[in-house]
Amino acid sequence: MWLKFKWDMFVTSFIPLWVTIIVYDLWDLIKQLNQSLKEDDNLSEILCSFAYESIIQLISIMIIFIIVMTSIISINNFLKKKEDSHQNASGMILAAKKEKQLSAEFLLAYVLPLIAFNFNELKDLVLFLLYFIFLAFLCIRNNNFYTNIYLEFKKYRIYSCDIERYFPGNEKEVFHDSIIISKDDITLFEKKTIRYYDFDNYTYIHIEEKKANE
Amino acid sequence: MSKNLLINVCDSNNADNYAWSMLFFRIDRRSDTQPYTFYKMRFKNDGYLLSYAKSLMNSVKKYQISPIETVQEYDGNNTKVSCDKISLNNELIAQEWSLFSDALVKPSDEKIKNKINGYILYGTERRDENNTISFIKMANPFTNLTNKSKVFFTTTADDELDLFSDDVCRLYLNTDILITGTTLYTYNYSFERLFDIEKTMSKIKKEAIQRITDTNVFSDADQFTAYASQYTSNRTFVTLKQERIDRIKNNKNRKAVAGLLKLELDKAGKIIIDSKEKAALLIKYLCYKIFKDGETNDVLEASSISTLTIE
Repeated sequence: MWLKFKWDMFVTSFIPLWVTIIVYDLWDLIKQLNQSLKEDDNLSEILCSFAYESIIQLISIMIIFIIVMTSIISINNFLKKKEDSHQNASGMILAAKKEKQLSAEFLLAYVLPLIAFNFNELKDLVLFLLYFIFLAFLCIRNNNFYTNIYLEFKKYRIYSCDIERYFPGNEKEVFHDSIIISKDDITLFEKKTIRYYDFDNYTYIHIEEKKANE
Repeated sequence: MSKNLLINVCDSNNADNYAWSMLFFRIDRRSDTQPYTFYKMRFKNDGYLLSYAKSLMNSVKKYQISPIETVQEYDGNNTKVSCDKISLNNELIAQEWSLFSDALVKPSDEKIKNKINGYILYGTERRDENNTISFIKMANPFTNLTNKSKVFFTTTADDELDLFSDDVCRLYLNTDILITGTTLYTYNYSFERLFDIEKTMSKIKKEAIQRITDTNVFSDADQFTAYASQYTSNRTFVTLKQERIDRIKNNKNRKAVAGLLKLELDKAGKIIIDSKEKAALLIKYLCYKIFKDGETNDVLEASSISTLTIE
């Protein structure tokens, strides 16, 4: 589940790219269909030839749609499971500040270059997939998927925090400059304990657990 | 008192009040800086860990805490009917605990490739996060069921049998070490392996011999040091008593001790140690392994002595 969650987080981080590809493909398809309809052939022949010529775009739209929707549903289920659970670890927020730039930087640094590929060309598509696989490998290996655009749509924000966590033998450890993704304003939680799900020692999702009777 | 505390702590009804985590660890003593490596284990369903914690607490309380007669301070020689306790700040384990704890707070998420030496299940109380309880088991949880005497198969989706050769993860319903607060409780000597206590005891032996030599009560201190260093059991030095060291510092009492142990004194009243047997005898006396029966005046030796509180 952990690896699947990482993959889902990675895929949904690139939602602007997926939307761009779908819009790009749809635009081309509509334009192509429009041109074909102007010709005098009968409709069934036009549609057959259109489907044959646009097979790459049609398949890529379908695949992207299925993968992104599966990831969105999985993330929602995952977060719901964590909110229903009472086994989330806890830590005290010592200091917190809002990270306003991270999502925009991620969009410019990771998503924008990928839009440069021409997705109608098979060669470009193969190059894009290669690049994307390398990126997925690196991001998933290094848990570098916290700048998640989908979570931004779900009103989550990114905070940089110092969080104190508790360990056996009454030990405490402060994790400085940790990233916490939260729906709530974490800056208001200073000196308060929050429940979280940790990606690694420095990246967390704040979990607002549901009360037992809810 | 400590037994009641352990019984209360291991009440499985309390398991719901904790948030549980599971870490596997590997020990590699070839590393000079950090011998411990921890791996964070994630379960498909959070309920599995809670359910395991409940079963473990129940089983530990029933089979490991209820049968014990006493909880004694660890002295390296306790009997099997007791449970030993030792503070995490005790010099015997403090340094290794610090390394263990440093590694534990920063576990790896990497795939486990090497042999695992044990695992720790720890719970943080939901109402008071400072309150934790931990169970450590010194055993590799990964095992392969197939062996010389058994072969395992699993059913496939097509209702066929397929050879099952994968490793399985087995978690025990008993524990070697229980930590609550800053005290470690142990039912066997696995924790000595965990914290490489032999190495620490060797240091303690050297320090203890130095402390004894520094009393300046020996006719030939170098000779005593040489014979004392040949004493084989490092554990004995854990129970070195300051009161007994003070006793041999006093001239009058030293004569009495020498008389008790049949040791010779020189003209200046200093103890003559001219064999390793004599050095061993004195060490055992100073480490509270030899005492005199007040009724029969017999000199007795015991591996472990504890003071009884009779009401």
